[in-house]
Amino acid sequence: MTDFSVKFVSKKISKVRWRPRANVKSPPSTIFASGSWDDQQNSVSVWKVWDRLSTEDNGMSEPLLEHEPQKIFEIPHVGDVTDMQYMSHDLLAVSSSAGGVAVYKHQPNTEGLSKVCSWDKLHRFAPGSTSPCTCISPRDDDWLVSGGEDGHLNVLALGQREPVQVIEKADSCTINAVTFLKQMEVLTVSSFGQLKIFDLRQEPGKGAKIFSVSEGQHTPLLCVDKHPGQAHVVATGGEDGMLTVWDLRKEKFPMTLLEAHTGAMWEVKFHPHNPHHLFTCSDDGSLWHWDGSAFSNEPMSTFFQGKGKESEMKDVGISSPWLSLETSRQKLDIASLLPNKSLPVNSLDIETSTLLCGTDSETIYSIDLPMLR
Amino acid sequence: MATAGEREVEEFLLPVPRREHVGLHCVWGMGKQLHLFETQVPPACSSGKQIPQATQRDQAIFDVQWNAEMHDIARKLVNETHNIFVMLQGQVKSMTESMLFTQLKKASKQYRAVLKACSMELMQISDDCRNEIHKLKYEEHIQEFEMVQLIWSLCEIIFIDVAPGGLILTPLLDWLQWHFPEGKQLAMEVTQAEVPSSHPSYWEAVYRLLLQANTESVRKLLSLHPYSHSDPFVSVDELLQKMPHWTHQHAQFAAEYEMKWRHWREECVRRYEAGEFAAYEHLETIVQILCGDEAVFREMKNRCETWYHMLVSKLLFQNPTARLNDLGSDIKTCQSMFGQPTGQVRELDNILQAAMEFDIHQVIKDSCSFLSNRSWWFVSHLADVLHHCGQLDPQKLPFGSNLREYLLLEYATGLMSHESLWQVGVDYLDFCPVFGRSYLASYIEHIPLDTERKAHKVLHMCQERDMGAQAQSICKVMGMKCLQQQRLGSALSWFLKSKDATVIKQITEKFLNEYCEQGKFSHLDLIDHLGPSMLVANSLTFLAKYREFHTLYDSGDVHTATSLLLSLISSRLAPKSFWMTMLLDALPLLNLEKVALGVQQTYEMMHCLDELQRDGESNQKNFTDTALDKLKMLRMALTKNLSRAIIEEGSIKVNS
Repeated sequence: MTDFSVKFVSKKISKVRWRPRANVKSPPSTIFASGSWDDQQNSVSVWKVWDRLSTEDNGMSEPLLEHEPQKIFEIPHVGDVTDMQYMSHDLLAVSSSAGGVAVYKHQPNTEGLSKVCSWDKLHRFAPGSTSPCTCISPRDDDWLVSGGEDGHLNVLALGQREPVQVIEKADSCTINAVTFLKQMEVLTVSSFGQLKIFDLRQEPGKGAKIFSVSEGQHTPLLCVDKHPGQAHVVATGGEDGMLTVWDLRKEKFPMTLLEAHTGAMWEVKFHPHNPHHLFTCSDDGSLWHWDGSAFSNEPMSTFFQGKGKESEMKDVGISSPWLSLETSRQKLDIASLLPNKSLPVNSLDIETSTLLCGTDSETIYSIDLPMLR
Repeated sequence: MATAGEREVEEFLLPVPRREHVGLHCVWGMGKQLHLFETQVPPACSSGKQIPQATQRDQAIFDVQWNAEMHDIARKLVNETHNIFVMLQGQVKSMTESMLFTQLKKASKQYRAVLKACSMELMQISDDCRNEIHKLKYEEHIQEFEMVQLIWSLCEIIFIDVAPGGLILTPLLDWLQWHFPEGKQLAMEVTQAEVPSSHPSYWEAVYRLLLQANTESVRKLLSLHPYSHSDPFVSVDELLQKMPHWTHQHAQFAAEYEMKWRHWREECVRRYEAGEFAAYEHLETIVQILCGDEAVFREMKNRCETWYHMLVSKLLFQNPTARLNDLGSDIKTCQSMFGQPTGQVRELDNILQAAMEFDIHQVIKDSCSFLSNRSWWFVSHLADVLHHCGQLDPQKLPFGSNLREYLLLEYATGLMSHESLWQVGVDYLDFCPVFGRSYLASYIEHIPLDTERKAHKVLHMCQERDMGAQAQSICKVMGMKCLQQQRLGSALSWFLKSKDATVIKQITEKFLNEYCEQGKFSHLDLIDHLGPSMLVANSLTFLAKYREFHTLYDSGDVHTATSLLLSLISSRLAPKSFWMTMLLDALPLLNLEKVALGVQQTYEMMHCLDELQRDGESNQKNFTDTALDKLKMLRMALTKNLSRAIIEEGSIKVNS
């Protein structure tokens, strides 16, 4: 059975994010951040998981409590927390339904957060009222791109008051998720069910590549994650609970559709170091682990050998399990990780072998997956 | 408010700034919420009259809410027990009666465990709290939690986890030990003291433990006394050790147990009467207790703290095989020992008494008026478990549902009024078979939809429950909101969901107007990818096809473009106002080197032109000069094209 702990936090959780470790050699992170939504006073909190690894030497009393997260810091937040992304080990970017984006920095000793800079009312509707900012994505530790219900994209640089670049009318509908695909390429998914790729070097708004899941359905796409090793592989989740894996190199029929949840999929995530594993969570209250490791006996490390052209060549050679699903779907091992279905699971994050998820039942689950250790 | 008659009504005064307005009117908000506003006429008594219009410019709207406050720990309770509740409802549906019974007992214990955990967490917070006012508040909450636990566990003994044969001493003793831990705490202090026997609370601890039948601990304490090896001490120790304990939960052992117990008591009495303990006043008291001596219990009054502790302690030494039914007179005597209680204590006493007298409805009724001013959590969950145990009268209340449902509805309404807990409330309404759905339907329309994400959530909730009308209404609300914010694209996507052809027509006309004014389309990402959605409304079909014409024309596929334009013109899908634009679009096609429009097609367009012109004249709104010029130009071009087409088609005939 999976080993998990539940923490009731008295706020509905919209996002959870592991703090990245300082460098590759550091021990696994024990700090994570969470954001709340739909409350009188929303907040961003920082949690510490005590002795996460001590579950191994069991026999001690109450082994479950040993890795229960404890709140070590909380700061009020105006509006719902709509997205949270770490830009680096220290910097946490948070977007708000009040239309702004703020960047916080962890204090060296206390792990508390202090605001480094913020852009208020970044997203607006035409009549002047603010629009919720729905998503952000960092590039390195100094750039951010934000998307909103107004359909605009703002490119932000840390330390600059005004956006570096604004793509107005990037989308006619709400942009629900955004990610940097490459240095100068941004990918968005929208409420009209479209996936778009913007080249920031081109004139704003021109030449966006548009992909649709299916003409005529227009089921909103709500979340996106790119494969950590293969830049052309992207996974998205839809309002109908469908998981879609895209091969962006293909012009025609670039996607594989997988029926998944019965409610909207709120987040999808590849394991950062072990991308044969994928995780999804949904409004129907479920959290799934998609294990594609049966596809390949090759150790995943091949993905990370070398850089530049050489590795690209290799990528073409290796068929990613996520792209050959049509032919070998049965090899995909899907496990449901939560004990019982309850209220929506809004967010998940994984680092090494501990999966976090935050729900509308005002809980944060931390789930141990020994197979990924 | 329905039960306000029986309860002390808390008065709330709302300051209304202006006095010249005589009326106040209100509309329901979300659950326990009213929106009040002033009116210039007194409120009409009869319903059905139209709502007085608020005309004043600086009209204030007051938002009145009650019972909505919820502290962090209460939210924890709400969420954690929500899971237990939902799981239990599933089991009620699927399990056989005997299995369900085990589950109900388990659920009752789970609820109590959560309560205990919450009250312990509150104690922790209260201990750490430095602010006196907050601390006081926390202590109030703790007290409430403790009382709820006390009542619940008693109800569990009496109604849910009923001991076979109705022998209730053992569970009642557990109940005492759980809720009166004073004795144990004192004993701990005493044993840690340097010289335990001279600790001021030494005997206090002994008595308290004895009154709860904790003989092992009593013996341990006595053994710490310096004279513990003297004869009287050894004798008491022997009696304590011999005291029969009721371990079997089987009624058939009752007689055997009773016999043993009588023997033991006779021995106690014998030793006492022999004066073995006369030298030690405290030991004498102990043995008197063991003998069940009425007088000595009066002395123990303060150590029992309450009448129900006294009741159980007396049962222990006077009538250990008592059944719940025989308690009536004992309750009265114990209560009279403690005199008339006041305030909160009286309320609690009444509830516990009602429970011991099997009057579950009185327990719930009193708990409602006494505890639930702040939360309906306790009564609703207890009533649910009792209902499934078959302990509640399944009869319908005068207003149509049973007691369980009535209480669940109250609880759920409280949750729906809360900014954040409405999702939990929905799950409770799901399990109210009579009114749940209609309550839900009216609440759903009051949930504020601040973000699209929230709208998606509410929409999913409706779809899960097959509430088509409500789902439609959410899409429409969101669509209208987008329209007001001038987000035509988002508006269109919402109205496509609700398949609202009228509004879609308005939006497409806006798109077309924009094109007429600026000569180019916005929202191309939508229009170009409509797919089969374009069929939802004629105007949308036209828009998409018209845009397709432009794409074709721009890509150089003149032939397909032309036939598409013609079919658009002849289908009469476009609004009249747009005809001119469409005909003008045809102009370049008429001036091509190669003839693009055939004879029939040209006639078709000329018909169109005629119709347009006729309309303009009959409506008496004369065309502007520029429009007339355009018409003239078009007619010229068409005539020219017609002649070219006739020649071309004619010459082809000759050739063939």
